[in-house]
Amino acid sequence: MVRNRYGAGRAVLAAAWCAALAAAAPEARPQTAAPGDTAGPLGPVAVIRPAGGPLVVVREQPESRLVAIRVAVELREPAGEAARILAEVVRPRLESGAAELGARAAVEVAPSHLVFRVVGPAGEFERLAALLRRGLVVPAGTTATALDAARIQAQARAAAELDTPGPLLRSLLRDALFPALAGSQGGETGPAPLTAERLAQWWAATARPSRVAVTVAGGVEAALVAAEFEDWPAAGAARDRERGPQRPAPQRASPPAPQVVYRAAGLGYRAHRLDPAVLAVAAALLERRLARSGIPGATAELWWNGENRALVLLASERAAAAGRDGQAGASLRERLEAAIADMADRPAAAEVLRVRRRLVRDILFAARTAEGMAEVLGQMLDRTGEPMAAHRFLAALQRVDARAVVTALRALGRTQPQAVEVAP
Amino acid sequence: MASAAAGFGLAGVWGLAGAHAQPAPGRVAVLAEPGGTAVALAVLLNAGSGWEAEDEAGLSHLAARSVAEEVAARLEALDATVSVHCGGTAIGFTLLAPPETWRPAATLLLDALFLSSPGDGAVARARAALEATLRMDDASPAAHARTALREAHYGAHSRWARPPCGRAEDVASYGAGDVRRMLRTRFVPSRAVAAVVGPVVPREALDLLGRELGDVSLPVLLPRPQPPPASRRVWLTQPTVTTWLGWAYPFPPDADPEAVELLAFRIEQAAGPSPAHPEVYDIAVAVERHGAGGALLISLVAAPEHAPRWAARIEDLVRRAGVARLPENAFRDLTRRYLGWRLLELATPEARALDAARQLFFDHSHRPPDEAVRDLTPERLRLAAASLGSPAHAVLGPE
Repeated sequence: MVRNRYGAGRAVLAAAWCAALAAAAPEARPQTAAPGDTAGPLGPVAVIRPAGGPLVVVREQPESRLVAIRVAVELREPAGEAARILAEVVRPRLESGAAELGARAAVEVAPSHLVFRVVGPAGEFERLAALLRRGLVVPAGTTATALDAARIQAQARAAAELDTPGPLLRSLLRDALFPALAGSQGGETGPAPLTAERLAQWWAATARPSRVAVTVAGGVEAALVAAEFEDWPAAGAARDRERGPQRPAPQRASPPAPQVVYRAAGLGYRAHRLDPAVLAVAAALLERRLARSGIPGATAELWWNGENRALVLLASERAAAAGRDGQAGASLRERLEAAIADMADRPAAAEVLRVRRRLVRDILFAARTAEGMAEVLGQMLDRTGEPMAAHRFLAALQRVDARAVVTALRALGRTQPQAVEVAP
Repeated sequence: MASAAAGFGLAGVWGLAGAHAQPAPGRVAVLAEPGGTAVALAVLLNAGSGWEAEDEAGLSHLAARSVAEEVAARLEALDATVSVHCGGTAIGFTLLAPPETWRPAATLLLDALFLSSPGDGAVARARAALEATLRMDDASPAAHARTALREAHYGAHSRWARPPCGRAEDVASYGAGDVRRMLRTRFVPSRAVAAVVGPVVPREALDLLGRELGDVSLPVLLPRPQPPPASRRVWLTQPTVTTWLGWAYPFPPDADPEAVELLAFRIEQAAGPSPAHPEVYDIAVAVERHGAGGALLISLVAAPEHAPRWAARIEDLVRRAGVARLPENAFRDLTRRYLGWRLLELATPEARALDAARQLFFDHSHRPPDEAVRDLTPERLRLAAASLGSPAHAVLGPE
């Protein structure tokens, strides 16, 4: 699903992309954008690696009175207990500090990244950057009680995310499609209980400049941004602990029982070698086809991060019950598979054109705020490790044609999908 | 900075780095933002519910929704979307479009608004959708509390006391003929203000608005509530588990609207839900303006046993704000938060376009929010609070 979320403040290219996991970012990243990369509707960006600092990508928008800063810290293994607890330790300080500056802050635990966002007046940029630099540490005085409270909050948040069928279905499908990247429940710091000291050591080893990407959009100059993020994050005492002891693949704990009223099914087609832009158009076409053929509410999504790519179809039995596709006797899975085959047989050049235009529009609308622009650029950077990935994706979208979509769908149709289901 | 010469009234043009022209009287503004990725157009029409006679209550909202419905599919083909905003003084439209198609999309919307009429089908679809939305709202205690406050403030029989977006029952009774009559009489270019925000060429945007709106040098004439608002009190008893408290503090035409907005923010910050007072469930503070000034509308939802204490607290908060100036440090903290809140409210181009149109509508000029906030002082805040009249008050809660 490359779906527009431009109603809300935070831009999201594709909600499902958050479910995908990132490939390791390359250590050596370009210091400046390649010639010709800076054009396009998203506008020019500055790509900087400040001395001793993280990768910094800046979209200057001089007319904007806001500035959005997005800090993504790539985790060394799928997000687990330590990442979730750290998020809860950091969150209140970040939120209250931002509020004092008339800004808004958020912390997100994505499967492969911890993401910290602040957006506020451009005139407060230096204070906002300082808030992030100071805020993204485990306070020296964190007590066991505070840590316990953060753990409880983290567990409650994780449980709430799986309390409804949709997120649970996506979680199960993600684990089935990318088993090596399944979420860790045990804690990245090893089997010993997590103390404040161990959490600080883990964070110091994780949040190193080579694993941090800062994306900034709004009314601020790139040079100022670069200066703010020099020598940050400071090297921690735990450099030698960057790689934790090898552990067996983490086992997922049993998810909480969701509030399931209708049976829901998901199909995931691995698509590692296919072009994400083509897959995005194919997903959008499939979703329209599913809606027209009588499975309203069904979604077709592109899950993409690095080499981990899949085209995913999700539907509920309630939606399918109202079906008009003449397949009332078929199972939900059969009907979803039929949609792929049907679409592959019936290319519609005009519809491809409309869909790709709509996808481009959705991305541009999502990027119409400073926060949205930082999110569009940052999400694509997280997925690919490339600062100009959003620009390239937009350009690639505009080249997708019906033949490419049909070829991709036929290739997917020849593979065995991963299937998951949740039922009352 | 773009040139302001246009041959018709130009309210303000600002471009790179927030530079802007000196505002001049007029009904259009173009805020060029070269780095944007979408273009927004906002149109406000001097045709809000405050103009509606008894037998046309809710009709202007239905008319606006019918226009939007009429053009929705054609806008969709241009990758554009349109939204409708209802209110007592004005009815508004915001259009959001890609930079490549904003001009045909804007022309399509403005032509539909001023030159043609929606078909029967569009009116029927708009009516069904609006009726469904309003029916849900009609049944909520929150809506009853809002109406009670408007009746306390404007008087039960005033057209201003009715819900500004209409009632389901009223909307259901109108046909396509009623809608077209409303459009012909009130949705006319001379009653409109418009603002464009985004990566546009100012000259082109001004030309387009000039073509559609004609002579924009004269400001709109704002409606005045009749009879004038008064400080009545209304109590409603309903089987609810919470109590709604509402106040409408009137302010005169020469009040300081930016300072009143800051006061609204201060009240919301001071009395809103927080760990310090968990008995407060919600608060909403808004500034409603019209030709005779306006009102600061406060709505607070609290646990019934705490409602009397909070009623006294809110009134004391407003009273003290009009008596003593905030200390400099506290004022600086307040305005810092307020500026951030304002800027975040205006994060999207469509919000900035609507804000610019509202400023043109009421103040006949446009100022960027940071400039307006920078000029605020503790004394302006105090004077704004002191300018408030005796409030109308409404309470909805259990016995």
